[in-house]
Amino acid sequence: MKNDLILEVRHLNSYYEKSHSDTRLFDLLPEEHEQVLRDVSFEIFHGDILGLVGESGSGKTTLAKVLLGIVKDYDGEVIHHTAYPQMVFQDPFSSLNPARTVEWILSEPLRALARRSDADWIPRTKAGRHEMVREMLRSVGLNDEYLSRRPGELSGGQWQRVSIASAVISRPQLIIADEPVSALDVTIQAQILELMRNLKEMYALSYLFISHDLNVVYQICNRVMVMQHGRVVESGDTVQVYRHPQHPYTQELLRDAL
Amino acid sequence: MGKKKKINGYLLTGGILSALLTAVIVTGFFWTPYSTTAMNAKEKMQPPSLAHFFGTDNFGRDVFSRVMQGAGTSFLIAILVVLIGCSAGILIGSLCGYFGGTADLILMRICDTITAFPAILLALVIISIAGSNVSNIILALGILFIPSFARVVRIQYAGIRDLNYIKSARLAGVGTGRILYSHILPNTIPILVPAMTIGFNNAVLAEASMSFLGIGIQPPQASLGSMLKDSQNYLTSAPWYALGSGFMIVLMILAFSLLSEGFQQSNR
Repeated sequence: MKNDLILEVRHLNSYYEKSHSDTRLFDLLPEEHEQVLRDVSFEIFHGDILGLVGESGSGKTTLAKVLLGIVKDYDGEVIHHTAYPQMVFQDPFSSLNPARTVEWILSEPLRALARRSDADWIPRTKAGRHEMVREMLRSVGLNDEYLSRRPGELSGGQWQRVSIASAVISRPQLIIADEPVSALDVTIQAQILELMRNLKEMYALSYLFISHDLNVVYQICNRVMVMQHGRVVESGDTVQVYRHPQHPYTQELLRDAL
Repeated sequence: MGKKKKINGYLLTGGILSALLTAVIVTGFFWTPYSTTAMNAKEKMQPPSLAHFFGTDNFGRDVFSRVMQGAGTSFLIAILVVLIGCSAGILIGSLCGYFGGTADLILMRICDTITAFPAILLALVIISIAGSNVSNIILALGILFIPSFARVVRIQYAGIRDLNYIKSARLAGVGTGRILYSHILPNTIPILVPAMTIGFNNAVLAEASMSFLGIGIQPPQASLGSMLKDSQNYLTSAPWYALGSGFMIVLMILAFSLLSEGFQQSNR
């Protein structure tokens, strides 16, 4: 099923460069390299919700940044079989432009796409964008009233709904969600997870779902990958891994989560 | 934003004063009660009266008419100076803040150097090289006002460039120019507006000081600074002469400071 592959990562190593060049005119100190990712290999298939768990500092966010092309200091192979993925960030409050309305924020990816691609589905008129933005907003559970609101007038849950909408509206096949619910209350968490599940069906998405919360990962992910010190120590079917954890670190994480 | 704001005293007072001032200045462009240049030996040094609100000067010219015109000149110069300083400051500050690096360091050190000298002194140097006319004054002051804007804008850009919504925009394929001026710039407005009003006040003062020193607006054109200078000699015999132009400078700066303070408070 090679054509169902969305993303392949082979023997990925990544380094964190402690740079001094931002603060000094002449960089006299040698650059320090710290290895963050060690020989990471995995793939994401169409329709997957792949959970990535591990405690903070294990390299989860760095992996996301490498996949998105934000971090360029790596070796190994990252093969995107589809267009670039989009991202949903942990902190919803810095992920929407506070000076702009929801409609403007959601139209912006469409405007950018219209300049770069000639795909048929991309609306090229203001009216077409408006219609698509309304539709997108409805599918994340917000009505037309929210079009003219600014982020400051939204609640935390609504904020994250709009963030998700702005990632989904450019029709990526893969969405990387970095702790998308950990800043929200438990009840809102459940709603957002439900929303992400629905959107996955509606827009044929796959997710790389990064979280430190094993309960959340169990609820939504079909496969899971456990990271420790930049290394993938265990991966497989979620139910399988949770029932019969092989690696001592996974066992420890699961014990702590219960 | 959307919510009803309580009107605050600063905004109200500043608004009324600015409106009055703008009315007087705009009128002054088209009409003044008396000619601003025609001399009248019979009416020399008249104290304030109904015919001459601010009295007359040593050439018998109506001080109020000259203040109206002088305020207009100062106003236009200050606006243009702020526009030059602000647009160049936005351009330099945005690029420095967003990209950082060595160019940023060098440009910011140049800004530091410019700020280290008193503005009037530098303007004096530029004017004496380029010659004293209105466009040179505007240009000289405009250039000297760039660093203050560039610095404010740069800090904003450096802080906002790493926020998630900018990362999202980059991921969505939004071009750098659009990110700089369509995504980040609107977020600097709350800082930029007070910076502009402060800049405006400084520009009014700088122009007045330069004209006072004789390197600004040249007679017979009326300028608040040069009127103040002329009035010095008659301070004991005709104090209204100095009061008229001094009052206008104070009013101008007070009005826009209050307005700026009002804006800042209502944004909080």
